[in-house]
Amino acid sequence: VAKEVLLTRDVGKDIVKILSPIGIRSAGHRSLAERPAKLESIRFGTVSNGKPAAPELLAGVAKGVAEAGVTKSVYVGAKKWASTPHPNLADVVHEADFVIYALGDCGSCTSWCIRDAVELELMGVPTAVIVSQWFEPLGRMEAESLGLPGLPLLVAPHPVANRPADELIEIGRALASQAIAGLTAGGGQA
Amino acid sequence: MTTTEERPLLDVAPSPEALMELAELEGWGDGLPLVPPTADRVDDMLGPWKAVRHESLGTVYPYRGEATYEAVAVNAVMSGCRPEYFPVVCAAVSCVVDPVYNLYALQATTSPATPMVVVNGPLARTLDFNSRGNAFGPGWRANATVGRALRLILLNIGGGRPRALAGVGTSQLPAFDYATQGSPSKYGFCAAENEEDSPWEPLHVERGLAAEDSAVTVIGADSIHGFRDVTSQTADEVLACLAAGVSIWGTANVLYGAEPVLVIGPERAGELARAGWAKNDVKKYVFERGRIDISRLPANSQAVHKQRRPKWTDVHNFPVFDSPEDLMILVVGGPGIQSAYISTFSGTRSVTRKIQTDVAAR
Repeated sequence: VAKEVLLTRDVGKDIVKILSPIGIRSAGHRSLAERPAKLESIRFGTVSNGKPAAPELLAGVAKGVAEAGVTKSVYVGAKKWASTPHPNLADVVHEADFVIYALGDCGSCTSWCIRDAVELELMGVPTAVIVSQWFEPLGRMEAESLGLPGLPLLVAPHPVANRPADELIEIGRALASQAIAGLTAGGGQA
Repeated sequence: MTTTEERPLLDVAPSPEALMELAELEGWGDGLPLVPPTADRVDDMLGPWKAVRHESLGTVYPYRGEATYEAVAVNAVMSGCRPEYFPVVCAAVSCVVDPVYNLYALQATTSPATPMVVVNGPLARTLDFNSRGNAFGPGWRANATVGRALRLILLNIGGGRPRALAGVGTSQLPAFDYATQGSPSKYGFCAAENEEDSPWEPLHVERGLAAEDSAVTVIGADSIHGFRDVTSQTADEVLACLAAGVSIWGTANVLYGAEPVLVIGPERAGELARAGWAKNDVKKYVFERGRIDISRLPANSQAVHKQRRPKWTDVHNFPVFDSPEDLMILVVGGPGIQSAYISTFSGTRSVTRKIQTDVAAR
């Protein structure tokens, strides 16, 4: 039965007013951390959420940013569980001036990459998140929902975790210029 | 917090099909027919909570909609709840918005996990929640509509729509559910514990509430994995089969620990209790014997298991959870030898809340 036919049953009958079931959100737009203007003497930090492929992708980005002139790279460490909050973001803030966070290649891990990254931005550290392509819209919607629609995302192909280490390092390396654009003054998508 | 924003009113023709069409257009709901949430129905649902309708039980992530009593009531009407069930739905909502429940991750997960609602205490009986035969199955209004109401709240207030529905509707709503397969349990997963036929203390009492309190516990659960133990004649045999049943690979529990659930039917629970087994002893036994041999897994898989659960080094006797206390035991069901295992989501802890029927005491 066509929709139009079904709805003719209602012709001449009173319209019903119903309440929308959608949640009402409080406005919550926030600002990205201030971006450093120059790459010299910047401490570049990488944070892994423990997902397979994250260390190799981060090593690749570190290689790429070193080639671009970042002099100091620090590995700030790994989370044990990807689907829970980072236990100590203050340590990350202490160690690094800008951060690449990997890897969002599933639903719950993308979620906590984004939320931890938003927290780092609010704590003053520019942070970019590596997500695989399928999860990029999730990352963007979550960043928007958390009030930071301009949070830089670096998009790796999907699936990503089933690739050999040398390929992952090259994927990471190719993301370095985007990382620098997103994390320094004049770059980013904010 | 209290919200001030007005909830939009929409026009819809009176036939059930018209509301289904509108819901599809707007990106609302679970795909099934909905009861129209008219202002009078929502007021009936709220009852004494009308006075605090704009007060929020918490923020529902990831969309960050506020679970005001009004928003919860609109969704409870849509799901088919009786107004008497409203405090149960509110208790379930206050469980899932607790940060330890980690709804933020659960909503987006690729895994099939979903909130499972367990109702305990006298209200479970007064409101006629099914705790016996087919308790997790269809045919019982309280179980079906309360479970469904929570799902509608996750969809409509929390944005847990399937990925493909991003941007649909006049309000271009986002969609945060990235489940690879999903699960029929996501339509609604709710039962009461069978306290009358259980030999042990009920879940809410185990968690510090009084037997005369009524409570809701929400668990981040996969689906039911049934155990057909057709042979056991002694308590020892029942226990051996339960322990063998939880020893399965592929669950988030083996990879992360977390809090799995063993659902034991009253027949098997009675056999265990008559042989002197307390609930905690059963937990200890299943923890000690419910081990799996992960040495048969590929080396990189073994490495990830050991990295995520570094406390355990014996690959031939790898535990399914980290301590006996982490195993939840529920007595649910009617006659029959069936028990079941419900594996759980990785980054979540279950939450128990008293059902609050008094507005002033909220």
